[in-house]
Amino acid sequence: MAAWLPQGASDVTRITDDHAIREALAELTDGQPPMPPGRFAAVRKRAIRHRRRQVAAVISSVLAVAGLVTGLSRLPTSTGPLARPSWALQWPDLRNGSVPQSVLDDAVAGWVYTTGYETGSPNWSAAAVTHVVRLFHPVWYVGQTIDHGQEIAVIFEVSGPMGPRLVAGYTSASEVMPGHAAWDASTIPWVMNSRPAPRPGGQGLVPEVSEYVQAQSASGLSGDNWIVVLTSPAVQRISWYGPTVASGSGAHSSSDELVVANLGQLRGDVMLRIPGNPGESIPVGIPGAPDIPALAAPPALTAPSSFNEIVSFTGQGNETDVDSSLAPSRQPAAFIADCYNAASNDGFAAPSPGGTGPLRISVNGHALPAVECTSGQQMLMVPHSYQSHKLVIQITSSDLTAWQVAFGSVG
Amino acid sequence: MFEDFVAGRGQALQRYGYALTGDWALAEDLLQTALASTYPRWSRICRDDPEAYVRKIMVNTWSSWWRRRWRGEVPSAQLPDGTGPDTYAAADHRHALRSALAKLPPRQRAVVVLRYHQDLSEAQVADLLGISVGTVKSQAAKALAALRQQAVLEPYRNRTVTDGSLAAAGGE
Repeated sequence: MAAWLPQGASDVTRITDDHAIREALAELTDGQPPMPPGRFAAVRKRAIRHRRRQVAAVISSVLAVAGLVTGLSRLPTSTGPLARPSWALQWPDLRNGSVPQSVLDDAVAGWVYTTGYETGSPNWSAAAVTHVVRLFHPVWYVGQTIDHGQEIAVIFEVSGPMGPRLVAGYTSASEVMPGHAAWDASTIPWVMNSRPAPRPGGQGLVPEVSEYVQAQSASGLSGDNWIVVLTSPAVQRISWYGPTVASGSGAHSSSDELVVANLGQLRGDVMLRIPGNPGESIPVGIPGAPDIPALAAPPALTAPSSFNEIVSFTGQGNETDVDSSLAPSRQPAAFIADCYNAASNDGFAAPSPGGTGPLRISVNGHALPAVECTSGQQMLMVPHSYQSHKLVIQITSSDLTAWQVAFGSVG
Repeated sequence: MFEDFVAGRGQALQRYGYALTGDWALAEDLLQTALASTYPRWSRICRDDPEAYVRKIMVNTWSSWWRRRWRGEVPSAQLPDGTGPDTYAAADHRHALRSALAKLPPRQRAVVVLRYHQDLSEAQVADLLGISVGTVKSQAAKALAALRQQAVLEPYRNRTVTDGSLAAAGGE
């Protein structure tokens, strides 16, 4: 404060500063760009993708630990020109130029960090990414935008400590294309799936590599699932079928090397079939590492009039929820639950590895009776002795089980 | 409904994000991150104060970004649109204020934004940031002193005194 101010002026100065900073901040934040269209749908999509990343990260970290133990000594140190190496699959490079090379390099670096080959907080300078790319020597098969430029799908092969690996992944274009804010290890925007790559011409040559890409649906309320399928040059034709919400189930085929198709909302896994392998259906994903589609939500629950809902959950797979704000009630408490999975999809018996088991709910570690996903909506009473000052609700199901659960009091 | 909340409060929360980050693209990213984290918990959060929850996630997320991300100045190829004789002066004021805010330590900046942009009470700011009311007071005082030292509030103070709105705002 200026020394010449008279006594009592301090309050005036403080008020003036308070008011001035309010004016300044209001003016600074004026002239806001318009809200992006479909913000709600984008948020929902991002939440679901986050869950998929969590699942993929668990799988990848297990693989990474195993690989680091067995193959660290094979880390290549050459930084020579990026020619196609002898270990790569002799598949064509089908990139269509719609994604800048810098974004594709970032995808490789993102995979390296999500798998734990590199730890710590990455430095995403161009030089650091270039170093990682040269170290892991990616061989590209697919790199392109889909869904009118909204998403990016990639398929590539790298050589790391664990030997050659096939990688398939995707992300929203808005999260990685030039002009978007930088990202770090905690917010790596790529959803990646990988497995050991077969040796060219060797045993166990994979006939295809595929992945789901979740995109915003036309309705904006639930995510569409696209599939990206890259086939081996030896494969003449591939077909796919799956339980879609719109048409129940559908089957399509193509002779293209690269299939990119929007299947809409799904109620289960999509299976691929290659003529010449009768009876063999392959789930979408890199063979040996199935991918997970985002399932449509089950129908809304129908609660009896005596049920007063406190909280409800909609999800897929496992979820643990801790909520201390749900104080135990003197009234009886109950769950209403509904779920579906491959077992519920009448007329579509896909041999999906996603499981057909029940939905299980536990309260503070106490298991309630299992909810069979073929039995429709069920109500489970919660014994009062299961409750305490804190309510921990754990919902367990297979990754390919979609469920809706409501908790409330009865009476 | 979560969708109604996003439609109704999205703009205001994005302004809050901009006040924190000083960058519209980052503000949008910050808001999306917070909303994506809020969405799965909506059925519980909506019973209390969902906006406070989102604000808390935004300030915590931004704080972590501030520690990790590159924060250099972003060059702009476009000059601001001009509609009057004071446009350049106003743009200069905003630029100076944005720069001064960017130089504040993250906690001080968060206190300033929550206290003076979001109009939260000192107790509410303390609760949201997980600090004491005394710390809120001291951080706010330090932040205002820093802004005062850089003279970035002068244009707004002068305007306030000139147009007589001080009395209305301050109750004097």
